[in-house]
Amino acid sequence: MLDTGGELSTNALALLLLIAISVSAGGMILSLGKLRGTALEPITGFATSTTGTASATVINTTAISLVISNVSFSLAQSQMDNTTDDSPGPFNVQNDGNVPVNVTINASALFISTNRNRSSFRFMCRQNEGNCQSGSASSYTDMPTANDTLLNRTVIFDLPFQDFNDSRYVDILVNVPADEPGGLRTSTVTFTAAQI
Amino acid sequence: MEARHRTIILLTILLMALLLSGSYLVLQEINAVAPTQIPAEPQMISTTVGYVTMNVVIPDEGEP
Repeated sequence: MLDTGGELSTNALALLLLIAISVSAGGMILSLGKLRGTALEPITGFATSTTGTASATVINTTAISLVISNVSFSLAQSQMDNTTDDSPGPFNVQNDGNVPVNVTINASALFISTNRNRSSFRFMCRQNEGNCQSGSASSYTDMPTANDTLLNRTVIFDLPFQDFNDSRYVDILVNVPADEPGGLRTSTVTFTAAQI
Repeated sequence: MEARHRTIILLTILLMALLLSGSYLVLQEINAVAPTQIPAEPQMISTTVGYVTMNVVIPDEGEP
């Protein structure tokens, strides 16, 4: 290794340099190899493919709104009316999200002569931009009273989200109890949409 | 300068270049990766309310 002058020979220096180069290159290859298969992939540099891939994740959103949110009746005791004839107009439920949903319904008590809505306050699904799917309330159904044990009932089953087919009418029927006092009553109707 | 000296200098420069480029590549890879994005929790439920108002009228039984 040493020449006659006690110094490293040129060959020895070259050998050390070659070892250093090998270690450096090996370390780099090892580092890049470790990066492969981790979140740090893909490795930039030499392209092994002529195609690239872009990916995007669209988050599911569940959202509904009421295009028509108020239904008003004016009736005497023991009289009945509904929105089937559009007088007054029905609720219009619209799916504003990007997933199909099932819509359930409940409402606070409408009349003061009874603390349950039952047959005096009913609902059903009616076609608008599309038909009501099987599983929807296809005929007048007793409105569940908020805070009842059976809180929600399905009014619209499988409401699509595509704009051309994302709304349905919800008809309301009221039957004023014979012993209901005169005056103005208001019920809050809650529509809840759940992603299918 | 002897040929062997030139060779040593050349190899040394090559080593430095390799070291620097290796470090640069690794740092580029680490910096290029965006932090992992955790998708927001999908909103599964939506609620909206409407109102039904009822004016219960009492007929005036005194009228003919």
